[in-house]
Amino acid sequence: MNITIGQYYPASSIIHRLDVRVKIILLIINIIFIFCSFSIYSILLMTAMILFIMVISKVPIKQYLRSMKAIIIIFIFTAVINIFYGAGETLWSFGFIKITYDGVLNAIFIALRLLDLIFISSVLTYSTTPANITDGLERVLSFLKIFKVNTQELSMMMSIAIRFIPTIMEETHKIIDAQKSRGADFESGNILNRIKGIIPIIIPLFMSSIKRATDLSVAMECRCYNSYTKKSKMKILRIKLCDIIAILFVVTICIGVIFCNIMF
Amino acid sequence: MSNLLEVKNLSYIYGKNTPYEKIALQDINFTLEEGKILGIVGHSGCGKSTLSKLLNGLLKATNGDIILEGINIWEKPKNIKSIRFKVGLVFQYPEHQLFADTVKKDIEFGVMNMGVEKNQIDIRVRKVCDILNIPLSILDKSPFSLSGGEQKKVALAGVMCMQPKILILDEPTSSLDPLSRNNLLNQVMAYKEEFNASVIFISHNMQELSLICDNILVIKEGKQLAIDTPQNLFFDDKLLNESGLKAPEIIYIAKELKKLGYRIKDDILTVDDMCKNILELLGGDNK
Amino acid sequence: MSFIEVKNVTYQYQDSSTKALDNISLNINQGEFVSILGHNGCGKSTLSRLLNGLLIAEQGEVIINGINTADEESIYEVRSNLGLILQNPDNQLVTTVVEEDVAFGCENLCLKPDEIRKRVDNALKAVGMYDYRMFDTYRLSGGQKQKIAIAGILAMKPKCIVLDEPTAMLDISAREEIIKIIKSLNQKEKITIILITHYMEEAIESKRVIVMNKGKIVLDNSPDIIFSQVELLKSYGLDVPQSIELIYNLRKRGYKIDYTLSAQGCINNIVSLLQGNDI
Repeated sequence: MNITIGQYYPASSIIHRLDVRVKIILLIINIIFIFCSFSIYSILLMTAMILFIMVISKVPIKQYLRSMKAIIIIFIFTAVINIFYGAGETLWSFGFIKITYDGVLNAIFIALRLLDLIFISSVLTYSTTPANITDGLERVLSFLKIFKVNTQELSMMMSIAIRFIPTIMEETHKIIDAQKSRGADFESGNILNRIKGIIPIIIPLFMSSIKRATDLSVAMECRCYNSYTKKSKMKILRIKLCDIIAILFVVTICIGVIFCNIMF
Repeated sequence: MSNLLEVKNLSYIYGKNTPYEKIALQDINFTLEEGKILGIVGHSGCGKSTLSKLLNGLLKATNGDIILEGINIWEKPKNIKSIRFKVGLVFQYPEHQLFADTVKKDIEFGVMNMGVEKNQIDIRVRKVCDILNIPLSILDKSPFSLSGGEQKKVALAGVMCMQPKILILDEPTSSLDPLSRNNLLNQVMAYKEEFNASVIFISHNMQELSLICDNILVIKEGKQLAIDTPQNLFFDDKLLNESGLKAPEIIYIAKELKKLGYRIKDDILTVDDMCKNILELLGGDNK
Repeated sequence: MSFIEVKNVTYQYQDSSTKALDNISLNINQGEFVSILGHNGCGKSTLSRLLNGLLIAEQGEVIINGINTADEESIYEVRSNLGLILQNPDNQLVTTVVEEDVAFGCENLCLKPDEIRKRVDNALKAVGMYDYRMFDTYRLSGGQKQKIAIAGILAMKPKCIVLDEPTAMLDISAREEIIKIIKSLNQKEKITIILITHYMEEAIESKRVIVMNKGKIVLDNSPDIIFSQVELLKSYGLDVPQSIELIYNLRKRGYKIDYTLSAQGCINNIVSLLQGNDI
């Protein structure tokens, strides 16, 4: 069974090689500037940069388009709404349906913002394994320790959850097969019956998850886990030349965006 | 004795027409008579579990036929559920499927799905508890308060209660200690005798298969290597080599003694058989 | 002073009316390979959890390498010296990537990154899984997962590894591989091994077999002496190898034939018996 959680796409691109902390911080900066692009030239500049990053990530465009599938309806809906409900000079009208210049402009803005958001987030998930993302998040968010947030624990919880998703999915299939073998029917019947039919799946799944959690906590204790003392890490993250280039590149574009905002 | 089950040219391919296509089973052929026990043996991943799911209609074969009591099981696809009441499949670690409030309700689950009358259900539950040595006192307890071994019995009872004509057991003795293992084998024989049912016993423990099976089907990497009586299989060195399986220790001893020239019978299966044989050579007890 | 000292330990679970362990005492020396045999429910799993301080006995004490397991301050020292492997391979793996899981224990011990890297690589090589270090843990087979679990403990450089029915959920070839690894760890690395099992073909591989029944230790000797007590073992719900059962049956019939642990030994002894009777 092939499950691509977080949709990691292995490739040997410069994006894949970047330090995960740099990727996360640059992602946050990009998101901020996507929403702070007030002129059409700013957003076009951001879009151009993001398209460039997508190309050098060596992940096929088809994959990126797949990530759009989930929001395609919202995308079209939002774009259409804005085309027909703008203010300003009319470009074309038919009865009470009016398409204005501003409307079209707004639609393009929103469309580009949405696309940029989806694509730049996908760049992170396609170029970084879920394990590395949680590791990076833990390191980046470690400043939250000042607010008494145990980032090590949070990161451990996230990483365990991700680790067990495929295991629990497999378990669910096994339980469904076992109950079907006793005549359980998950396909037919009215809504009430179908809801009742979930019980023979949920309860065993729940019980086995509790057992799993108990065993896992024993295994972790055996390996001296405790959430209070700081752990060391085998992987040392070092900022490399490509990371510095990436930071400079994004900062330059962001300055360009501010410039466009002011000038246009 | 007529053939209860006929399997003809059965094949199954996972993920057909996708990049993950894999041939799980190829050209499996065998028949199963009423009241007989068929063992299925092979290494992990050879396709044993896939075969069991094909037999009870959880999976549909990409090729070949499964004929149960003279009728193809997929003749009326809408009725495939009824096949599962005739071919009862018990998965490995069946205790993971327990869900009801009480042991009794869990055992009844399958039989209730069959639409059997209430008074008949109670009779069936008592019968199956008798066969599996489940004390009636635990019927009102929660299945989750039982030990691992008791839970396994309750799960097995849930399938046996449906009184399937063919009972398929997928590695039922995993993680059981020797005493529990022997008890289970006896209980399976008791079920077979009581209902004149057939049993398909999937395992990779040749010793336990040798104790109860009439025939053993050997599968390697999805292909059928052989189907024969335990005696014929264990004494076929070429087959054992090819399949990577090891005959029980007592068979190895019998074969080595035979090689050394002693008159050893060809149908040794158990320690008792071997002992009798040696005693014959020695001329009886040494009193 | 033995490496492991169990002194008059009694343990009863909260929701149980019977004692899981009833006044047991046991000494195990550094470098030994001990099997603990017993039917399900005899207390062997409870004993394994008492050894590394997951459970603390109400009566009696457990001393590992001079440290009392009840001493909360030193519990991590106990656990870094005595590792525990459980039955279910899946529920012991914490992370998604093999090498990161093996590094988990070392990271908890706050070792330096270079040291962790070295230990992880060596541990993976010792269990024969070095080529799989970048694999998803999910994609491994049961036997491979169990090897990774062992590597994870090995990386912590324990003096002793306790394995609680490590092969119960594995098939025969995986079982043999795990036993081979365990034997090699005992012989080459001189790690004390305590193997808890109900498979006698595994217990035979050890130098000392302890049999437990209903919370008590009933037998404690070398495998050849233990397995010759066929009736007693059967009364404890255990099995003996077929070769031993054969010899036992022949002896019951009045013949003088010695017990031996291997099939070949059995054949030799039968041949001697037959030759001795001019067959």
